[in-house]
Amino acid sequence: MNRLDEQLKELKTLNRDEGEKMKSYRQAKGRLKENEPIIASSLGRRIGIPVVVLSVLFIGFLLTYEWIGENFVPAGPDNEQDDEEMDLFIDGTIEKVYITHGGPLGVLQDIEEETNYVVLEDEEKLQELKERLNDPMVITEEVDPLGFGLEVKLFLDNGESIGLRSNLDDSIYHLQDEVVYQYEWDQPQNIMVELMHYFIDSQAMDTDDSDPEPEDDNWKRYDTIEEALEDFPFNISTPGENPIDSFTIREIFVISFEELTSLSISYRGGETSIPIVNFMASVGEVPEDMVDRTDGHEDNPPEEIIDHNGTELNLFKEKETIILAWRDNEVTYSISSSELNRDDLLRLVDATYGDESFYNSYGTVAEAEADFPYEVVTPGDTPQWFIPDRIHSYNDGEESRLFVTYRSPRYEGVLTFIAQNDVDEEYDERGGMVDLIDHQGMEFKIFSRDDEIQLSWEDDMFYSLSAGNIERDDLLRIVDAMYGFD
Amino acid sequence: MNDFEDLYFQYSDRIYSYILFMVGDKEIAEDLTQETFVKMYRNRDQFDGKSQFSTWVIRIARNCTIDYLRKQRPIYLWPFEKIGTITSAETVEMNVGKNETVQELYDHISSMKRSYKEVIVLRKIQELSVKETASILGWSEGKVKMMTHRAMEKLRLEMKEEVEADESFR
Repeated sequence: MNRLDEQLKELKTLNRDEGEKMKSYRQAKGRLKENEPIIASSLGRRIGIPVVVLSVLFIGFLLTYEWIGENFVPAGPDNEQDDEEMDLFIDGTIEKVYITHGGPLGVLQDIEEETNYVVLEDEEKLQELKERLNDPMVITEEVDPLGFGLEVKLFLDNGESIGLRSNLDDSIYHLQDEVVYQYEWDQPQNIMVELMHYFIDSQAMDTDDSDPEPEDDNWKRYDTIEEALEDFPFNISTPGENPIDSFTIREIFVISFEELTSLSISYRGGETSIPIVNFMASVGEVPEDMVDRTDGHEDNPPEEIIDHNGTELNLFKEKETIILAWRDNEVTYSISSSELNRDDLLRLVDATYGDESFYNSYGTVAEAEADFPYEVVTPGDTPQWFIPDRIHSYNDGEESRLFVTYRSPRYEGVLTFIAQNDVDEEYDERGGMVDLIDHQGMEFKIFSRDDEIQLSWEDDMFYSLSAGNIERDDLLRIVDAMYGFD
Repeated sequence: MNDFEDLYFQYSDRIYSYILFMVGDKEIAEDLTQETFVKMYRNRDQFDGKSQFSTWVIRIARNCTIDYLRKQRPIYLWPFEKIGTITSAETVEMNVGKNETVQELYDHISSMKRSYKEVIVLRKIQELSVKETASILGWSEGKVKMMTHRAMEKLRLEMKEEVEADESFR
């Protein structure tokens, strides 16, 4: 045992204020007596957010099944009397769940060997998962699933494990005694999709080890933008509480740094807890050791300068993050995201200035198609292993655009589909075309830009499909599925 | 309820220390310790006795802590390149009431990235086994060994650099 090891042991119990310890004990005991929900009361008051887990992950899941003896059988009127005798799909307690993505079903047996998996151990979520998997479930049948998808392995306290996988269509597959059973249901947002969101969110968490250290503590958190604006010493614009799609506020701060005062708002989208957009408006003198991105500093020129409705926006890229920064009189604004693309960020700029009337958001691609003013072909709601992430359209009477982003556990990036009635020349002029191919009698332009492959073609409308970490053949397969080509 | 009292006073200092390492704020560490014990007691029938009780409670504490940390993710302030994380001032400096070297150790560990911090706290400070640590972190035992090695190497390097820097002024 070396000296460092011995010194580390001295940190086993850190000094603790006895008064605080007793207070904490009494509060805990009081909560147990009152059977309060699990919310740290004083913490909740201080940060304005109850310390509850991400329980929203598991909403909207419906399965019906019956488990009789050794096999699954179709549910139906004849079997209803067996309900009381029904065994449970999961008998014990789920201790943890491994989530990953991969290929053929057999991989499930070796999921611990995967390097890219996420472990779900939150006891409340595991309990909820168990309850939902123990809900009645419909028919299963032997199938032979191929392709890639999300894989989940449940580890039970009795030492058993259960492997499930989904190709992110409407089915879950279960391997039992080397036979693959398929579970069918009606809900497009199945539990595997929710677990996939957890997987993606957790991966984003894990890659965030390089957080910069705090530099200032002169800040205040707010519950609403209105309250923050009341305290903010200047008139500024913000994207509002719900700027686009299903965005909601995650956190609001007003920060003072020397002579600079900033309002910072982070937004999250859908069910994810992670901020996907950060907005900031700042007023005041920029400290000497900071670089103002709206100044077009020589050492850090913008990648693109966009003239957007008369406002000059500087676009920067920092790894996966796109940053739009601009100045409006004495206010410096920025919107940044590592999740959204350039067009989405421009929509947020529009939202900041109150012009979002031309935009519409949809829950499904089918709804967007039906509402679109032109006949349009789309990849639909479940192309290959992707599921829709954000679906919206823009229509100002002249320009119409349908825009869908998809996510998949297989890819780190986003698959983007755009259909528009007029070609986006500004985008095309950026160059990067690497090939022109004839496929199924149609002409496709292949672009390679910023580690992203883009496929563009014309078919009454102008279309494009793009993604990173993807082969052009995979994009062509999606096109084939769109047009029903073999 | 008496068994709650026994459990609280037997384990809460250890749990508090673990959480304090992770969040760096005494008040929040007290809140999360409280939450951990409430959850532990409400779910005590789920403890199956296959692992040590303390390991099970640390796992609950970790879940509570991670849920808290998720909500505290830093905000990036983009127009100006130097502004970074917004967090509690108490995180920066804290007197742990130990001698100078141990205080330095605390400071170095606190500033490490989460994965290194966790593995040092669990393996070297809480003295859990590789298997117990793997179970809590959801890692393979091989990964625990590898990460412990890397984290300790980094800690040794930082401690050494500090000693050398001090000596160079003498």
